Amino acid sequence: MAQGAVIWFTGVPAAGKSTIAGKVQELLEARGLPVENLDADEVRQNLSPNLGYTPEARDENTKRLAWMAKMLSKYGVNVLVAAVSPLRYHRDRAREYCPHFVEVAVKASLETCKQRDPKGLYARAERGEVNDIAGWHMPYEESLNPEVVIDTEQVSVAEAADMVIAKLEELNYIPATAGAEAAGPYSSDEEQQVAERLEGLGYM
Amino acid sequence: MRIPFLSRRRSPRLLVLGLDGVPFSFLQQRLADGSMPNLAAVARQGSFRRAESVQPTVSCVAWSCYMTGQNPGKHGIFGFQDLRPGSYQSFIPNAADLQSPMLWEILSRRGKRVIVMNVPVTYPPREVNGLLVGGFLAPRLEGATWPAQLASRLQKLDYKIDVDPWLARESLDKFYEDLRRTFQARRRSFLALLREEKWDFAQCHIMGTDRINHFMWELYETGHPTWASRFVDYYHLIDEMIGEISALLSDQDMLLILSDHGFCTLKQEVNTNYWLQEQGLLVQPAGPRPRFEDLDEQTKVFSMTPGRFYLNLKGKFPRGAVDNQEADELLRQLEAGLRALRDPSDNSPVISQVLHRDELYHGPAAHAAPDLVAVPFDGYDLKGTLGQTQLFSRGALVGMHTYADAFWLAQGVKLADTTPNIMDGATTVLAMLDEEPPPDMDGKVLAT
Ligand SMILES: Nc1ncnc2c1ncn2[C@@H]1O[C@H](COP(=O)(O)OP(=O)(O)OP(=O)(O)O)[C@@H](O)[C@H]1O
Ligand SMILES: [Mg+2]
Repeated sequence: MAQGAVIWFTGVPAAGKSTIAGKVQELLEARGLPVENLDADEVRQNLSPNLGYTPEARDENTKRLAWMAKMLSKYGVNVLVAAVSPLRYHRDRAREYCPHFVEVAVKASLETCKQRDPKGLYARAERGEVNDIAGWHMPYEESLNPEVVIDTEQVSVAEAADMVIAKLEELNYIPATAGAEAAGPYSSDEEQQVAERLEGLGYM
Repeated sequence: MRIPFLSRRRSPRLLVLGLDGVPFSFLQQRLADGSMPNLAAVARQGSFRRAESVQPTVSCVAWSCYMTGQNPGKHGIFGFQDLRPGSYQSFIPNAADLQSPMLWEILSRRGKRVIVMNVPVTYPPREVNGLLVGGFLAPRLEGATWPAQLASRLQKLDYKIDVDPWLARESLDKFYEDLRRTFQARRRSFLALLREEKWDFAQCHIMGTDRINHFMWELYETGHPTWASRFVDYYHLIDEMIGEISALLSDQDMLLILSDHGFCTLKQEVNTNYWLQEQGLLVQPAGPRPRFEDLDEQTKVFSMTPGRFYLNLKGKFPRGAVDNQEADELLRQLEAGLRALRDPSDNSPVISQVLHRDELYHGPAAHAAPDLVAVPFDGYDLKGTLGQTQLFSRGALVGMHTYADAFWLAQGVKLADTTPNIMDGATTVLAMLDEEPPPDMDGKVLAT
């Protein structure tokens, strides 16, 4: 059985990890590839609702995610993990566990995250009810060598997902499509023909 | 004189003739010297205005604005060549990439019957209530029409999508013959459809005017002994078509003739990627035909034709080299550098304006826009070809687009007393046909 990829989305809360992972899931499913989405929130809710967010708890949680991803990917499942995983060693440990590991650094500025705030987390922090947000109250360690960097203030969700898919293809973790669908209605001959016309006009 | 209760017996009809790249000032001269009498007749009864284009000033962007009534930040077309999101992979955007409904799709949905011929960025054809022939981004006629059977009908009339620009480098005579033949077939075909079909809205696009201007504008402007008059002769053919169209319209029909940009003589091509290399901001990829795909982390900024500058941002491009924190400073540096750029032959400045993305574009597609657009003074054509080895060069092209010298000429409706912009197209056309423009259009209504 082929080794599945583990695509690990890291970034501060509201950076867009779950949203982009959801889109990548759709694209992989549309290609008929086996996918499992281990969103940190869901896994917590189902397995350890009382775990909390202390450094120890975060250590525990990211370790569980890494281990589950390893087990699933061994059987050819492509695993998406969306977890803040604020410390570098959270991700490096997962990388050690999983042979086809792709680290996706999802970025957004604190201001943007405060504005987006899909879970109301930042609003709670403003009211003083929460004081353990990574990247604000607690450190978030930037990735040193992520396979993909996504600045969500520069690219849309769809584009971000395309960037991840392109990287998976480039690393040969998933089969590359012929590129025909991506290239739109032109065959490569036709595109060449139109390109030559445009070049003749100095438009390229 | 219109008699109100008679004049709206039936819904109004509108015919639009698009003359790609024809300057207002050029037509003023034709009106003055009597070489376009049919146009003059329309102008006498109608509103004739100098008009503005869009940035960057290229036809596929301009006509996309026309037919969607939106700025490029909404319709998503920023040039003849663009990059696939999150990559340096270039592609040629066409109708499949246009994010918004076209004018004729809106009219079709409201029960109007349309005929649309040869407008840029209408290939691949989208469904309309009526007939549509795609423009010059279509590789061939088969597959370029709605419905598909229309292609064989046009084939019988020798219809051809576009001229071959490479012919102009071989022989101007052959090129001119190609221009004439292509135009005559289009004229014949459009008039046949007008006569044989029922329509409420019809639009024909003449691309040949842009083509002849690219290769012969300088010959015309400098009064070349043979080509200057042959150049005007080509426009005389267009005038004949205007005469035929006018004869076919009833008193209640309206006519709009317009261009998407002006033209001027090209003094120099300015190779903006070479300039970036000189500034230490770009490293040209090695090899005989370097592509954007070959750029790497050594490049901080790259450019695409014409005058579109992109920061190689981390998180946006796969081999990004610029952090968000550096971006503003880099943009300032770029802007200052561009403004200081001079033509060494006469020390004249090259760049008249440097516009930031937010000043030009807004909407869901705006993030795909260039970070800066440099607007040249007339005569300097900005080229984003990679691998150039000098800042200034000249090739076969002797004419280039201008922003502020397009035109609109309307008959049967009075145009508001302001400078029309190509983006006002769809809104104004809808209003002329008594249709409400959709709220997400950016254009103004210029029909009064
Ligand atoms: N380009 C973008 N990419 C991703 N999300 C975006 C983007 N632009 C806006 N958003 C919005 O930002 C929010 C991101 O929320 P999301 O739940 O994905 O964040 P998260 O990183 O998973 O946060 P958490 O760590 O709290 O789970 C969503 O509401 C999404 O619609
Ligand atoms: Mg999440």
